[in-house]
Amino acid sequence: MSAKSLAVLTGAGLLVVLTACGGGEDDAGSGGAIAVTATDTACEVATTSANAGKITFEVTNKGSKVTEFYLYAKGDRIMGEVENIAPGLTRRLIVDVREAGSYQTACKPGMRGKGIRGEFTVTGSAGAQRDEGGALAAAVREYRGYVNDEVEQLVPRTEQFVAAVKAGQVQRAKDLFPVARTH
Amino acid sequence: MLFSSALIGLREGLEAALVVSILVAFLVKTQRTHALRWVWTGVGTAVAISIAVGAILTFTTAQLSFEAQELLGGVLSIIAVAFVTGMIFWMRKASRTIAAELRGKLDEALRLGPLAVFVLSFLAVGREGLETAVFFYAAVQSAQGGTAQPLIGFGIGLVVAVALAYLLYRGAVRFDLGRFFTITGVLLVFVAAGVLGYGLHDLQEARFLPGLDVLAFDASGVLPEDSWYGALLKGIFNYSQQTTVVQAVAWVAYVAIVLPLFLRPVRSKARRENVGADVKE
Repeated sequence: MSAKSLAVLTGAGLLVVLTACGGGEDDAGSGGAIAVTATDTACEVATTSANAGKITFEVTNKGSKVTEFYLYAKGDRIMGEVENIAPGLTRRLIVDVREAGSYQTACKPGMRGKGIRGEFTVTGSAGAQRDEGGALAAAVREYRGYVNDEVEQLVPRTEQFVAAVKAGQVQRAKDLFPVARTH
Repeated sequence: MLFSSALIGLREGLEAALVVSILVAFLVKTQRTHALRWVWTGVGTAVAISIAVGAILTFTTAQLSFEAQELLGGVLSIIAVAFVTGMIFWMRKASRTIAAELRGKLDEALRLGPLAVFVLSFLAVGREGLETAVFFYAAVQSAQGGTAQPLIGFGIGLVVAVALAYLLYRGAVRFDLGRFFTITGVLLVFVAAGVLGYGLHDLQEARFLPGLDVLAFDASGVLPEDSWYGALLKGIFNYSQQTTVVQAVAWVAYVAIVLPLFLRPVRSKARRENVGADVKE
């Protein structure tokens, strides 16, 4: 493999990994973004509660120091963080919060210390699937059965076809091919 | 507004450009300029991916979970440390080869493959490229909203970083080979130790490693990261104003092991001849 194609592959691979990690599920949470106004001494969060799911914060730095914004779970576990919010900038933080409970927001002017904390409450639950009447589960079950069925037929017929090819039985192989490929 | 954004540009720019400029100087000094295209391919790929993924994260609702983001940064940093360490010992080998007056065989002794050159340049820039790209988009959006200062500042910072890296390159190629290898090698040891600490801190933030709150020191009062000298230190050596014990231990251990290994004198003459024999094969 040439190094150039390797370069391209590495790049493409990384992109795929990154977008795969991203996950574009539904916005189970609140509708719009929650505005956060950060200054050198204050951290004003427009709404201090949200539904579970993807929660979007839009943090505007109106102070003079570079700041960071965090969402903490209990025990200061970091749920999400956006750093390098230079004065004058608005940066977005999207956090996928699956569990209801109490959380804390924090602005860290100067990017240091414990930050200016505020309470934040998450309600509801994004973990539970909304599967009314079990229709989704049934569909998944049926489709799984269908795929298994098809594979069970595809494999032996392909094996017969391969055997015919290897044995040089051209006509038999021609007859078997359309049968195998229907699965 | 302008100044603080400029410092961010300077810091992120230096982090990326420093290792690249030393690598370029290394290839130029050892007359391997044909390998330079792998440097630019690596840099270009890293920039392109960062800009593309940064755009996805900025303009769509796709997001990386915090853990994934920190794991990525941490793991890339630690891999980068492995490659920089490899480069440090290539340098040592190179200076030893010169000492053995096998200058003509230099090229062979330094079988620094295109892949290694590519990966090193890619990691040097790509490690922090994503965060830089996302910052860039935020600055552009704020410029569209009428506040262009962060964007201008960021641009100035990047330009200064590249200029500094270029000066470093110019200075470095002026040294004679022996001193070049010693000086840049020692510099790289400290750079790599910083990157190692940085990577471990990312893993601590992702809770992959414990001890995020167990600080070795907090110098945010004396040497804040948002001062110009703090930004320079962070850009070059990955100085961290609040350093955890894990970071500090890893930093000291890395320097204590790699620096003496790099600086240890060339041993016996027989050993040197062995190296010569290896090269001839």
